[in-house]
Amino acid sequence: MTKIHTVSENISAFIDGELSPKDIQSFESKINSSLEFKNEHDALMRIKKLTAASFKQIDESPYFETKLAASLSEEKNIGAKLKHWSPALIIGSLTIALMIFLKFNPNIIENLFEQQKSKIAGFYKENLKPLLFAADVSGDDIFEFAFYSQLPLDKAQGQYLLLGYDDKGNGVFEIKTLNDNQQNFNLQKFKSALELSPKQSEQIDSIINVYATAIEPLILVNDKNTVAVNPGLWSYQKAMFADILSFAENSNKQKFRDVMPAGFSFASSNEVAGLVAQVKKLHDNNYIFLTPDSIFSEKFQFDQNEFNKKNENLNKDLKNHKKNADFFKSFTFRLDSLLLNYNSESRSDDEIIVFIDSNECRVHIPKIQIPEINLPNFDSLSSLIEDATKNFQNFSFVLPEIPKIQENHFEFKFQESDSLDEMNFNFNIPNVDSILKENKIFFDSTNSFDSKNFQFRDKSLENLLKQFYKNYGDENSQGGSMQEQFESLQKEMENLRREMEEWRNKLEQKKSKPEAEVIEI
Amino acid sequence: MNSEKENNDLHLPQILNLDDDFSIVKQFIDGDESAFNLIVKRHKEKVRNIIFMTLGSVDGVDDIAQEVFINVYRNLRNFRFESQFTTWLYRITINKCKDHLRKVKIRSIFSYFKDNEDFGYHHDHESKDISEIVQKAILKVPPKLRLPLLLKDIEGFSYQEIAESLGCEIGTVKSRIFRARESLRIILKPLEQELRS
Repeated sequence: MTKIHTVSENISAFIDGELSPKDIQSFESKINSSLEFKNEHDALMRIKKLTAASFKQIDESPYFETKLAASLSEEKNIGAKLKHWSPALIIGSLTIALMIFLKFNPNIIENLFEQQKSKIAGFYKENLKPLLFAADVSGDDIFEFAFYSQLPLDKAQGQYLLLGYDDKGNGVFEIKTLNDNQQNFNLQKFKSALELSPKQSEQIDSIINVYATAIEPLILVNDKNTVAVNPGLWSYQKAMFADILSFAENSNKQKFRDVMPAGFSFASSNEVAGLVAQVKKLHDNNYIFLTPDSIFSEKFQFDQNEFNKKNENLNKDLKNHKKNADFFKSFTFRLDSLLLNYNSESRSDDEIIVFIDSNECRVHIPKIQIPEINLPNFDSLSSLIEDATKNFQNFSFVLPEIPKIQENHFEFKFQESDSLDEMNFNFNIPNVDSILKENKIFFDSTNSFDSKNFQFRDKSLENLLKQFYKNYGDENSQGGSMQEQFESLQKEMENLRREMEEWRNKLEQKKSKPEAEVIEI
Repeated sequence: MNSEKENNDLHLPQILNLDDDFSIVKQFIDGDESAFNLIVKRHKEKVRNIIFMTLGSVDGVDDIAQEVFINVYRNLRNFRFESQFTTWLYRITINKCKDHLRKVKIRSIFSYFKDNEDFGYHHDHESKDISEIVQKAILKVPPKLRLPLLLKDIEGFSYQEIAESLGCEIGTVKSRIFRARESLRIILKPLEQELRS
């Protein structure tokens, strides 16, 4: 196909007189000798002639030169030149003007950004309320926060706010869904391990309440899926932990030593008091805001009194309308897809670093001032307290003194100090006295029963057992099987004794006969 | 003396043909603005025809031709005399035509009614004027093939000149001219008998 085309192209070029003299000669001879060549040549020649003859030249334009002269004179005009360059001139002059403006107002862009930022921040700062109120956090949760550094955001969905530290000592907070977060250790166990009196128990509850009030304005949330965390939270968690341990040490030194790692002790209660005072001083109004589309640090003043007032009014309104306030007490932080793009590389030490995936949002906050105090690591402490409270797993009370048992049962009541539940226990205890007493008629028709000096008559034990099974259990399932087992054991022992006897006799017989010689082959 | 003058007159146009454009351009570069009018006079019809052949329509021919000469006026002082003036001029012309066709194409993308190449050509066979039929057939050939064909058959350019004007190889020009003729042959096949007669 290509070759045929090349030949045809050459015929076309031949017609146009564009072949070399040598090729022209060769083509002329081919055209004269080949009919196919000739036909192709004639067809192309016919097209060439038709093209040349048919395509009319365009009519002359009489005013062309006049128009062009006018255009050119306009072109020469400076004004026209300016018009031509006007877009570039406008852009250039605007750029220069902007540069001059920025030279004299260097902070204008930064201020604009700041304004915009504060507008966005203002939007997310609206209606912030304490997480402890919004997520209905209890005293137990606050206690767990002191020991485990975690606060529930949404208990139903297992969403927690976790506090910690990174390798550089920077504060880290995470919002994470924990599937299995049942802590073995809780406030009740702690009280039990230290054997706190009801009064001491109340005191520790009040300590927790004081800290709960202090922590309240440090974690704020709102309906715009915003979580605002004050870096003071880390200090308060530490102070609360120290305060609780200090109280525990003062309450029951012996049990405290059992529970704490070996050798741990606060030098003095002043040490903890100093820490708490220091923590209160450190508190400032800088919050880290975690919002659906941004994470930023901003100053924010939370008005606790105003919030309390509003809350009171709301409760009154709800009471008037006979509605429950519980529906206000729910918060779940939703990880927005926008936030997934927010992951930041580690830049300078002063910047907030954020790591986000579908289940977790972790924020590293640099330069948090946390006062120093020597505190035990809870990882080791937890196991010790766990050991100390093991015996209290089922019953966390001391049995009352049982009066001399005249009957085969006794009763007592138990009431927990922080619970409205009352437990009644009624025990039926089978003992020899009760059994014998109950069956005294059977054994002694005189009714003069004395268990200590009681003498069994023939088969009286057998009868007694039968009566025992009748009163306290199924003879077939308990006594029957035991008796059978005992009898079969007796039989086996008898058999064994007999076999041993036989073996002894056989050995004695062998000793009396001479041994056969062993001949080696 | 007379015979010498006659001799000079005989040779003069030939010498002028070779150097005419260059000398006029030189005059213009030296500051003689009137030399530009001469250039326009000499080449305007060729330029207009090339534009007409490229566009296949009279519309806009003069506007494009004006743009071509304004462009020439602006850039003539930078002419380096490395190629023929006409090659340079036609190259500017063809580039302007390409720009125009590109703009038309872009405009057609956004226009409600798309340009129809067959528009107005349905009754060609009914037409009795053969030259009109052929002209319309030529317009059906794509501009890329049509222009070298017309530069050759109408304007009488050599393959070399066409290649320089279009900025391509001579082999490409040769191939395009042949393909243009083949296309014409196919388009005009139904009228073969009529055209022969």
